[in-house]
Amino acid sequence: MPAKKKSKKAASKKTARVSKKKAAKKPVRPARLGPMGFLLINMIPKSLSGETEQDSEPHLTVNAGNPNQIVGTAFSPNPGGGSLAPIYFSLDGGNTWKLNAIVPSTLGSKIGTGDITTCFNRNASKLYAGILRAGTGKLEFLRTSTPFGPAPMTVLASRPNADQPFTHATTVTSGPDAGKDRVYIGDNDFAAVPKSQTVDESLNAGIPAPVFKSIRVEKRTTMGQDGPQCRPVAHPDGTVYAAFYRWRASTGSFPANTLIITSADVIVVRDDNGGAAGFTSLVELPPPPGDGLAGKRVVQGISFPFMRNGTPATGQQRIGGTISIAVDPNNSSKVYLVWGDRQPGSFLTLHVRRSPDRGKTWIPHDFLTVPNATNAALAINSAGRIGLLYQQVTGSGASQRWVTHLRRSANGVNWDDLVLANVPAMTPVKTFDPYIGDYDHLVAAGQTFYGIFSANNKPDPANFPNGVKYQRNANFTTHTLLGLDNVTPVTVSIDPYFFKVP
Amino acid sequence: MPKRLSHEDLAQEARFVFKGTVQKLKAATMRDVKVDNRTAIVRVDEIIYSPEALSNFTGKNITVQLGGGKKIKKGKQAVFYTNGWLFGDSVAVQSIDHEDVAKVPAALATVAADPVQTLAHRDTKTQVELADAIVSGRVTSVRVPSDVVAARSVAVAEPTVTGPVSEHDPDWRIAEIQVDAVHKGSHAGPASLRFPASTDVMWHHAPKFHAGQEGFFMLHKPAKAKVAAAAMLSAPTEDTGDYVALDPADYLPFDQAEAMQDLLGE
Repeated sequence: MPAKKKSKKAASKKTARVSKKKAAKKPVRPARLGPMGFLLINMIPKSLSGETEQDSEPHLTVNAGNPNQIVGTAFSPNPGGGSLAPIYFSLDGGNTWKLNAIVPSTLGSKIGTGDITTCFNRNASKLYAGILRAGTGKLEFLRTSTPFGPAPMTVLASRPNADQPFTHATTVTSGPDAGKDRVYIGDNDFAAVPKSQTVDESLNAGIPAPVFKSIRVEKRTTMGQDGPQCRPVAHPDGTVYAAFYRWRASTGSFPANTLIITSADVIVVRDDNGGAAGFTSLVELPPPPGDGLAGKRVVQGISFPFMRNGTPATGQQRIGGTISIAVDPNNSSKVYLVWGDRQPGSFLTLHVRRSPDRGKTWIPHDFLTVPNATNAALAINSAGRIGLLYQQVTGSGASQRWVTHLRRSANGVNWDDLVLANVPAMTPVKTFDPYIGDYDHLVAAGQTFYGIFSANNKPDPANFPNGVKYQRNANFTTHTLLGLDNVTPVTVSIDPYFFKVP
Repeated sequence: MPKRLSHEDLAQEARFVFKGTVQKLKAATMRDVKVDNRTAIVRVDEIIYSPEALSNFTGKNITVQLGGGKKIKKGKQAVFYTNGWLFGDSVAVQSIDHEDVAKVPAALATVAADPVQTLAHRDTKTQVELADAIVSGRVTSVRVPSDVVAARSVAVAEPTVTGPVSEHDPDWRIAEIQVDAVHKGSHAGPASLRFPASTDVMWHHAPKFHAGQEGFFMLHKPAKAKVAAAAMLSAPTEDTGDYVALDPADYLPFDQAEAMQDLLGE
């Protein structure tokens, strides 16, 4: 009867209003979840519930002006084929994720793309990327002004023989160059051996045909090349830092998976003029105690394995060093750095250090030391709080686990510890190297940390002690992934996860 | 006016091909799609071939961004030649073109029991067509290219002059193949076939050969454009082998002889 129906409807509306009021007073938060505002989400969308790819080596960028807009990447092929690889994107602050195939690739590529990192410019009017293109392996620099639309990204530059492009972009906010996009892509350029560390930069990347210049940031002799990691980061005042490993000596054999870098330095370079000074602004003192060359050797003579293949002893992950640098957005003199080296009983130990004076001196003790860990990523938020993301192997044999941590500290002394994932390290069996990626990523926008990592996707609440949200079909009671029909079991694989913590 | 692609060209460029019925024009199943005159909601009636991720979409409505310029009406069934575009709660694909079901050659419009297998078969067909020669035989040995061996010897003696070390090194190997029969092109004597042994992300999909392995080998000369760029990566400078294998469809075991003979028209 209409009257009764209306009355029921009205009651229902009233209840809804009451619920909304209650919700507004006291935000509803499921028990046992992480800090207020914490979100951890498996990024594979519902329509790809049946996917079993090894979606490793993730990276992300956040629109600082509108942090609802986020772009992520991983080794994910185009699920529907074609000659474009996908990016992941969210338009609601990471609560939902979709894939958009816009990255130039090769028709039918099984890998989508090789190494890929992206970064928005300051107002996210453009998205830049550095990739190793599937099919050719070429280093390519990409750009789009419509990352959420269907148009493929534009190739700005392309060349062979380089590795691990790591993209950072910003926009000049004042002065004669105001409005210009500056893009810095760290890479290991084999065309420049033996001093292979390079920052490819464009100081006006937003124009139709930007010019990229290769800045050779390695100024010292090497064993024939540097390591693959080169991590640039820029401050709005025009200071740009980059950190990398200088390889000095090795033993063993890469093909035999026994290569050890027996002597390496961790070097920080700086450019005080937005990249126009060739990263020569930070110069060591003349000998002694320094060598008078550009680039501060923060630590010298460290050692670590550089593995071709991951092994059971390293949680299936190939280990080859890890490095990250972050600059305080409130003070470009204050810099944090993390690197990995080999210590007794640990395949790679992370060391967090701080410089108070633009990289000139470094406080000579670890602010944090983490054994058996890799994929370190640092960021500093607008309150000067430091965030460190890393992935650590615990246990041994079949009970070995990959535990992903976010550590935060207001002063570098006292650190909290938010465990994001604690998953089996030996399942699934890797289909290629790297198992979880040669890097992950962490950024800060305002006071919030945004991060991405890859891990086993078994829907087991015990694996995500601070909670997790899945978009793909999954049964958390039976710990089973389910296909598109929400019935057919799907085997466990490696998926990318996004998180944010205010 | 853009060149009209043949059915075979369309089939080559599209990875998700299906018979579908237009449910609604100027509409989409996903909010992120900017709807225009060429956007349609299409029900997937039958899948002809497909990547694994889209193989269970029969009966579902998806978004198709129509390409090719042809008009289509609501309620009309057609074969859609598409590739993946957007994936969220639903899926959107970019159509290269669509064609009336009646106009599509039977060989291209046949609905397969396993559309993923059909796509794999098409990939093999492509490699068969691209191959300079196709032989059947047996891998007698697998070796490291001679100049790589030499470079490694130097590296052991003098580590500072070793060549670049990259995690993306293909780790070239050469499989020596005893050729029993030549099925396409001309080839005499044993064949040396270079392949990447690396399990790195850039190379893990390439075929990996081992001594004693038998089957059909699609042989591509390294200089051929399609494979040259990838093959150049860390390529040995001298001992390149006669041919290079980079695509998983460059090898078929003998238990798929019937499929191979079908592709070769034997």
